[in-house]
Amino acid sequence: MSIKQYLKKNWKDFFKEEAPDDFDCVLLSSCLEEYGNDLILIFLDRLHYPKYIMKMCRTPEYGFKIEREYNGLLHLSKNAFLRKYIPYPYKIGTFNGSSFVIQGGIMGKSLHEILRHKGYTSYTKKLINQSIDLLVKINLANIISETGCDITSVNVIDTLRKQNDFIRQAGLSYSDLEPFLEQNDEVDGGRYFFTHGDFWGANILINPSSNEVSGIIDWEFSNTCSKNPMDIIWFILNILFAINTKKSAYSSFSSIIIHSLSIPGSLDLIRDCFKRYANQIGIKDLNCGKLLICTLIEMSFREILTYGKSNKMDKECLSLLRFFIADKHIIPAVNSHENYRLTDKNKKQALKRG
Amino acid sequence: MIISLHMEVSNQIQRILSAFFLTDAQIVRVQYFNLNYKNKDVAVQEEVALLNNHLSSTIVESNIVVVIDNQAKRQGLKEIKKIINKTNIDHLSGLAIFCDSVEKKSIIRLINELKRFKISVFGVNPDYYFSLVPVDSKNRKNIEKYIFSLTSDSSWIGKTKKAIKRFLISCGLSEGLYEYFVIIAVPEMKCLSSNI
Repeated sequence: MSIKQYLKKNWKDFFKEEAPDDFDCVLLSSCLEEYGNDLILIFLDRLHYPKYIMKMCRTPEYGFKIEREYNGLLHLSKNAFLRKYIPYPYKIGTFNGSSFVIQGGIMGKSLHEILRHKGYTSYTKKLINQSIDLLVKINLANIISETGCDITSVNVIDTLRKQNDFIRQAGLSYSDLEPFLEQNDEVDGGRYFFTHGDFWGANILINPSSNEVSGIIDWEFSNTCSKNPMDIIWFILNILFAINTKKSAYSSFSSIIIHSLSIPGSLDLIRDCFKRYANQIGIKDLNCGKLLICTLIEMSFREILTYGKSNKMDKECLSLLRFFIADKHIIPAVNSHENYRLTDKNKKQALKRG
Repeated sequence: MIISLHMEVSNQIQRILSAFFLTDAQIVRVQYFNLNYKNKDVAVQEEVALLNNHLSSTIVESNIVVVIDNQAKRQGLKEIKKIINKTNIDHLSGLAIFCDSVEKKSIIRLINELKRFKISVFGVNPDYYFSLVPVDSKNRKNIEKYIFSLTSDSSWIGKTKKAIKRFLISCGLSEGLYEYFVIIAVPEMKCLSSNI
């Protein structure tokens, strides 16, 4: 039975509507990693975008991330405000031994593309602010009071504390990370947050007609009760990356971000975005610099701890982490209104490390 | 998993098989034919592999999928015909034929002559990992606009390519945008519904 036949047969059960006479299935792989997903985009009638998306895990042993995505979306779909911004989760199941989730499609252009094309303008600033406001609502939608913590998510910081080998293999010393690993437990007295886990421009869609955020996609790294509200930092770093890609002579993620820190206005952008987030999330003394390091630790080691393999982006995050630890002036500058100047020597060393 | 085939081919075939031919509790016997045109002759390389869909250890007799990778262009047509003719259609779950735009129509005609298969044709987008676009769809233009706008190339070359692609799609000239085509043929009797 083909996927199309399978969908047609189960259409009413999945979508609570009569099966259409015809529809199209587009098979799409969005990455090459064996732990990646294959997508079946379901196009109906003459629609310009897929009405439904079937996400299938390529390798059965990683089916847990499909389950995690479904559970996260299901939880958010009960939130009256957030449900219009997420792909509605219709069904979770297995097909030919692979786990799948069927979710609604969302129309829109990626914020990352818009930022890259238009840079930081009053228009894109409005979209960034909207995304931050939405992120606050997502982070506050934690699940702890209902069902307890989500055990499918690896707690990177806790694991690294117990298994120092990973840190050494990455060319870092435990003492470098110790202040962040040890203090990380207690963000605002041990509060928990619902994190998206990959909150960056490519996963934020903008409706081209209304010029507003139309939805947030790709929830496979979502964590229903995370100790680290890391999404905001990942979002800010990716804004810097997107708006400086065109201008920069560098091409890698870490090099572009390091280079962008010496561009006037970049630190103000980081501080403004963080301030907007911190004012709404209601965490006492939330420290941008510390959260930045914790986020980079999480992003550098998450895949190796979850899947046993690391990808190109993990290495980029590791380069950034090394830079932020080595440069003693940058974190204080992020936290205050101090000026920061990346010296030529530091820049050279950082980019070499990157 | 297919174990003996070339890794890249194997990954693509695996995805095609799981999207079009597998059912729960089956092992598929994959007969893979690679056709190449060398020294004015078509060389046929044949491999057989078992693809386990992780659920069963029972080999089902009637679950054979023939995969033909035709790199011999028009010269491969005769061999394709031979391969199809010597295959017992009653035991066949389907055919997947990789081909170029040049011989696509002839292969479709060839399969149609057998009058036992339901055919779907997909184009493979070369610029975004692996994607199969249904080129025989009524909604082809919209789907193409969507799929070809996805790109991992952010350079100005990538952007220019994107603009050219959009233009060609609007003019109905998208055939040349595909790296190759995949023709999927499933025996009519195995279709659940006539309009699938």
